[in-house]
Amino acid sequence: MRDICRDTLMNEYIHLPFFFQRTPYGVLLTNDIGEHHVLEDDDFEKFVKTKKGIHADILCELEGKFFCVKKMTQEMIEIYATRYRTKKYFIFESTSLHMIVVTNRCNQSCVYCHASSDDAYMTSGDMSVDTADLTVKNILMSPSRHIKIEFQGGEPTLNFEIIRHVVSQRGVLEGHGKAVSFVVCSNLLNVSDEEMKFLIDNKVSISTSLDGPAYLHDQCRVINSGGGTHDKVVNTLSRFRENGHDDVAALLTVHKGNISCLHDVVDEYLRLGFESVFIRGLNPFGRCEKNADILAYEQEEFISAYKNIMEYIIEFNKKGVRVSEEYFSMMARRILTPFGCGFVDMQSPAGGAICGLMYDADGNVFVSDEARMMYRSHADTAFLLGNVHVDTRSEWFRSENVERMLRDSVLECIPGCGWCVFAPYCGVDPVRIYRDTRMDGISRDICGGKKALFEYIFSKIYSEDAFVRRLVRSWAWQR
Amino acid sequence: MRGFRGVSYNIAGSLYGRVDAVKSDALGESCLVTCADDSGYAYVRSGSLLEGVFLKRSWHAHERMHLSVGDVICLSSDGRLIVEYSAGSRDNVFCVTDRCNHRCIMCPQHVVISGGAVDRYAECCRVARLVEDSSPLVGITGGEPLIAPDKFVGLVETCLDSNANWSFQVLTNATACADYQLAKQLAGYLKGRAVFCVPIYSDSASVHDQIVGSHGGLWKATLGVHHLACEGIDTEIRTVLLSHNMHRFRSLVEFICKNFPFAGHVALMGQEMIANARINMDRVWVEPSEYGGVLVDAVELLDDSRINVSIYNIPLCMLPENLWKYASRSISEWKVVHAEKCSECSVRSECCGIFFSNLKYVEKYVVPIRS
Repeated sequence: MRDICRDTLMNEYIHLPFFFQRTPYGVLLTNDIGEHHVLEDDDFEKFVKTKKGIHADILCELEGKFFCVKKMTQEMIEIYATRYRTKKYFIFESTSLHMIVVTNRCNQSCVYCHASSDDAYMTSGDMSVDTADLTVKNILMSPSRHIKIEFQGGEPTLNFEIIRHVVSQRGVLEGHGKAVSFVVCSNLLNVSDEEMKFLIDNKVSISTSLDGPAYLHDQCRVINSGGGTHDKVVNTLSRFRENGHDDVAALLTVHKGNISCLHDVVDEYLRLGFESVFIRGLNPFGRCEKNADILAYEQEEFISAYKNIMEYIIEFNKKGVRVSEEYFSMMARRILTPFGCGFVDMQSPAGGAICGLMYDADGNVFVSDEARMMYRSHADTAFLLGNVHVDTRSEWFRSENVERMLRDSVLECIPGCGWCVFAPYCGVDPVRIYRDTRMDGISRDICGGKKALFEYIFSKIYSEDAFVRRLVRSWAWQR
Repeated sequence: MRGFRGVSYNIAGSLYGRVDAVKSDALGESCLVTCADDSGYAYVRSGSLLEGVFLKRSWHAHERMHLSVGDVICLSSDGRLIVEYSAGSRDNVFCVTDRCNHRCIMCPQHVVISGGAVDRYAECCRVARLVEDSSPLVGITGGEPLIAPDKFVGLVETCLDSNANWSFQVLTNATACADYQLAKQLAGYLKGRAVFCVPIYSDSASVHDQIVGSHGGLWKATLGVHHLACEGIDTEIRTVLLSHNMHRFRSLVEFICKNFPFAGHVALMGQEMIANARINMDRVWVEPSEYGGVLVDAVELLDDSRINVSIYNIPLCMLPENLWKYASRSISEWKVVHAEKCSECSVRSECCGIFFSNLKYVEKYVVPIRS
């Protein structure tokens, strides 16, 4: 059979476009549809120069992953296009994530709050019924058939009436042929029994914050008068579960105070019955920006902490305990499956506006949460699209701000990104880059950080340990 | 398909009919057959004769056999009786043509290459009109059933005209559906009523095309499956373990996961050593002793990717025990045999058995399972 290969394919083949980078385990090749392969230096040289002597099996492998073809046919190009569209499905899906800030007030004053929330007793920061109605009206105009409405704040439960009001419009949204899901992002400090019943009855998912055990959680997540909140979160969490509601997720914020104790965080997540943890770095907006001296860590520190905790997580799995890390799983999904995955901060073009919109309490509309922060912290309107009281979705999408943001975030056209081996899986957050260059006058090496993580993830995909390879693959295909 | 030899009386050419009454007696069995197109009745008798002379259209065999009410049969002037459709069975097949646009190296059928090719679409239509089951299921196979798309559509129309509850399993290489208009037309009739089972033999287009003997075969088939799926037709991917793809089977499975993640089912199949497969045996044959590790790996990948997987045509004693739950009793009743040793086996009734054509090659691997 190998002889046949040599005769038929292997003396003449056409290269398809690919990226490459030399790594400790060989030359890594990737392409636009997300396929990847590792070649030894010698084989890479032969492959690129179409030299003889490369093993037929290797060429077959490269052919099956669309790195080369014997003959370009219309059918093959159509299949390649289908694979490319599958990766970029989010462009066709249109805005499905709608974040509504029902209030800017908060009953906590977290040290790293990037939302710069107001005091709990001011009421001017609440969304009105009028604004909520106009917001829902604009959500209805999104062509997307899958609508996810996320209530944010401040602490959204402080204006529970608006949550109730919007959730009650489910029928209207479904009447327009849309599948609707709701999420409330709450610190779980103040959820009454009646409110809990409403959330459970209406199948509203809960997303809360948990920074680990009390000694870590209470470092940053404190109430306005100064006390910790860990016990309260855990207590409300178990109340939800006692009532049969398992749809509660938790988010972690990594900062200088807990970056060296992430194993305690993972232990706490497991103790509380979570099967995944999201090792999420700081977002330098709002109070987080002001408190940088006590919060910020060096990028190298984050990367090495990330690797350490991943090894810890892998060890748990080897012992039969199911646990995964969200960022790793999302990237693995991009690398190992034909699909993309929703992660608005990291896709090309960026997900702002086309995947997610942020509606502030006063009706202002932004491309993303970070865009709202830029406005609140620095009165910068570069990513402000309009206001539900003034204009409508079609005008927002024709605005210069959307066009510029999308144009600037197409990785494929950015020098340096356009030929990066990780480009098929990566993306930029234009708001973050805008902020870093405008505010600090420097371009932080965000790219270096992402590359280091990609390199780490690929080292696991090509691990010599079969258990690790299978584990990573199962993370990619789960959900 | 079951067939019998006997003697036909007063029958010219082929006569299609449905068994409408069966009467057994001590000496044999008599059947009353309603003929196609309301053209009257015929009489079928097996066993000893009850009367001396056949005055009407009749068929007789001395050996006793059994037909059921609802069976559709074809009587030929040369004395053949073929059961074209068995009432209530889930194994019925319409073999619509001998022609094929592929020349698979391990094809278990004698495909007619040029001249004398037989299309049987019209005959299958006649059979379909006679079927009286409330929800008939039929496999449509060939050759390549889509080699004459208009005739294929005509057959499906005929079936659905007579009864809207027909469902179909279409064994096709799907290359015809690289034409989107055809996929769309088929969906108009078959969405929700059919599964298209399409073979993919390698992730490498060169190797796949070599196996099927057609340039561009892999891309056309892949595109065809995409078009069918896009139009909402259920699809199944089938592959056969060959010496050509065994050593890179994992890559083939990854290719299936990535290019057909929507497939409702993937079947991993053992070979049937007949026709082309027998002729090319030295090039395609894989010893069952090599299956195990390859299949464990493949099933694991598909399982992890949330794709349903089954193993066809490989006896349980040639599979690792953890794969038994994926093994299917896939070999049709009329093709299956067992080795002598199988009588000592405790899982014989759950096993697919052995293709009669494979027995002499695999008998030495049969190991009766003792519970």
